Amino acid sequence: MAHVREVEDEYRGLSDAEVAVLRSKEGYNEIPAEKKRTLLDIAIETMREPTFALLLLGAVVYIVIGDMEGAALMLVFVAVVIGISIYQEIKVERALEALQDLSSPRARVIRNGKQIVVPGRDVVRGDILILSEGDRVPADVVILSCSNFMVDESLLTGEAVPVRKSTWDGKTGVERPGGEDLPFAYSSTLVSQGHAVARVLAIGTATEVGKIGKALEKIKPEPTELQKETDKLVKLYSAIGAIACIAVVVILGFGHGRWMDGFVLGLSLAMALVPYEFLVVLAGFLALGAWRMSKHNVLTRRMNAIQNLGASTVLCSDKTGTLTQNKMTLEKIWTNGKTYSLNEGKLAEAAHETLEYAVLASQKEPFDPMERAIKDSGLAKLSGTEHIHVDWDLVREYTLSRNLLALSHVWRAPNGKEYLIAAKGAPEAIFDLCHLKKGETEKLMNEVTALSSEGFRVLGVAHGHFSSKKLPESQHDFEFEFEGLIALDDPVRPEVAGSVRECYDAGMRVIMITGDYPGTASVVAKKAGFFACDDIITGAELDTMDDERLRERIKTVSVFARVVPEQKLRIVEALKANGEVVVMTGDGVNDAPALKAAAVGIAMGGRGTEVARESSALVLTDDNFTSIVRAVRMGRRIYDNIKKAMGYIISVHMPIAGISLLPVLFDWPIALYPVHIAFLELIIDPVCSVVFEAESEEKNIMKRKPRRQNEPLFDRATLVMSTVRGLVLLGIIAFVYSSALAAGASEQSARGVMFATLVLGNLALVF
Amino acid sequence: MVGTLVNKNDALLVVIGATLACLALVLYVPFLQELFQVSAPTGHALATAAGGAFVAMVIFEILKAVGQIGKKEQARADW
Repeated sequence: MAHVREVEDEYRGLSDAEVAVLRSKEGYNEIPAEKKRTLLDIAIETMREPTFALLLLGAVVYIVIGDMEGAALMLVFVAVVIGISIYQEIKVERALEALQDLSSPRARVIRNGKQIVVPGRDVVRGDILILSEGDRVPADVVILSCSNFMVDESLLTGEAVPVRKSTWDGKTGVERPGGEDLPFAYSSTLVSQGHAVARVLAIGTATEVGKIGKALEKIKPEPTELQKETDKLVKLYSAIGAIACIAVVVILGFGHGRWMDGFVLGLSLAMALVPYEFLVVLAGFLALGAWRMSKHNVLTRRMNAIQNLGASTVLCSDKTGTLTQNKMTLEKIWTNGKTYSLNEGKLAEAAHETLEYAVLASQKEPFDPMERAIKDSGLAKLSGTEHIHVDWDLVREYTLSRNLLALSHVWRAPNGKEYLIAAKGAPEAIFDLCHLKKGETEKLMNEVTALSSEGFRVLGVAHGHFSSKKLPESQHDFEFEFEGLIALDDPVRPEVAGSVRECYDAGMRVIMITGDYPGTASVVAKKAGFFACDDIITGAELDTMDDERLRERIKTVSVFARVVPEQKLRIVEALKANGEVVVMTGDGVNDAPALKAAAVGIAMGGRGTEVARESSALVLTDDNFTSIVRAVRMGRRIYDNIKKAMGYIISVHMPIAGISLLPVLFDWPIALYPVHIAFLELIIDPVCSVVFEAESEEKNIMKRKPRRQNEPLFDRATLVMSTVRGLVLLGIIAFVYSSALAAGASEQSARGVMFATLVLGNLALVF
Repeated sequence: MVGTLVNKNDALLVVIGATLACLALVLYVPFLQELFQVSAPTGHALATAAGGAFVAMVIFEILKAVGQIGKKEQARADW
């Protein structure tokens, strides 16, 4: 496959004007998802709520007692409930849709000769796509060029094994999915290996997946644990309300013959006991919280993540790009027993070849920060020498694979008779390619250890020649000669040490998981302010440990080195078995199981694959460790504010329910009619609870231990405190009401002053 | 209360304003007075209501302070 710049030169792609014309003609690249809820659907759902039934019953009672104005007002409240519900549902749905759009699959396209990333739904027919490992193919495409390109088409064919793809010969007509070496790839399938340049043939419903109407599973707004807990409580209070209502009707009806008063009071009491605001507050606070987090580079894909963030006890982070800046510089070259620094003016002639082959083993126009560093150093140190080869042709690339962490580029010089192969990769992989003897490998490993203990990322470089016409399938079939080692530096983000400190203060552990050498990992961990950086578990050790041993060791170890993504899942499982609530970051295809298994899986939006994004609960748009810590802080704040609002609602229901009940016990005139309660619960309380959503975080928010994951929202302390506050307010309004009545005030006057005290007391609860 | 006043909360003034406006409508608009079966409170009655709310606020602050002490002790015990 050609290089990025060459791809851009070769394929100009569509212009913006062409894209606009095609979109207006053919629409967006989307398969109509499940039917959207209409206003009527939302209205019907609202009518199933107990509050609605109570309001309607209130209107009936008013009609029966002949108060038509009261009945009309209750019906107005019914309309208000439906209106608020529709407004709120639409707002929440829109917020979720906007977040889903932001975190939905993206596509890398070439338009106007430039490579850009666009949302998958913006792809149009004729677009030139660049597809890489971990991408979801956004449309049906024909492959114009590819390298080791394999696609998992199980979604369409049921075949679990990825199939190899080939370059289009310019003649083959479009074929259905299935089988090897097809030059077509299909929408919603997954690139499991390699990369390709492709042209879009069909979008949306015209694609193979669109024809069978099988849209990718969209994240449904599943109820969070908080919502389930609240829902349970609302149902419990509704049942208590129903029982209380019946009891009041029976006592007043049979006991005193006051049937109508019984109905009114019973209904008032039932309305006062149903905490309708709970669900409104919860849905609103979570949606607004997700929106607030999106302003800080954190996109929420699953609402449960917000709740879990506040309970997280361990934060497992990648190193490169998350803790570090991913801005590499080539610092040293080791060859033939000597180390050469690249910071000392001219590079010694002896190191030229190693740098030359490192450049040849990189892309001509690299994206990868490591390759960019190599190229920059090559241009700076080798220009004007015979080691720069602008006229050489790249014949073939052998990409990294799970089994061999090295890549090779096959080059041919103009008029050259044989191929020259440049390879670079993990030192062990390069030693393996060079068939070095055990003794040589050991000596070289000492050099690798020495360089990595300075915090460098170390790569091996090799070169070889090949004279047969047909290139082999495997890199192992070349005869390589070891060239040397290159050492790259990737500075730790300056703000990371502060964020790590913040985690420790907040009672959280921080664990670094990296593919780098233990020495490099240890140095970076120290710079990032980790505790216990020298106790390291390597991937190889991890493989030899049984689960029990791992669970024991993981209690104190904070650095995992030479770890492959597949091992992350074991780390998550071991932490979970120890009772930890794990936040895990990831970006690759193989990170997906660990991201799913963690309480909060966080995908890197910048460099992450689509698969990682799909498996995650949160997506970071800036890939920065500090944003994760900020998300934890915001998660704690959102939870605190929900708890405060819930406490307020419990408190406020006490005086409403109490003052509805007291007239029954003391033979007072009715204090609150259904209309008062509807007014308080539908207007005053929701308005007042807005204060809690906007409440700033508590001072000690990151100085306290994480919340227990199973800690109920309505814990004993909250319930007791809220009840006491509610009873205090009840005592005061009961005193005001009874005093007014005792002083000879009319029923209306007494109710007026009591109602004013209740509303002002409501405000007092907000502070 | 002190905490709420010291920490900037943009919603607080709006909420207080909206709540007082709603209360005033119920207490002083004749049509709503009739619906809510209340009569406009006198100055003395209003002062009683405000006084009651103030007493409530003072008690809430005392309860909050007691709660904070308990929380701090709990946090210390947790660490």
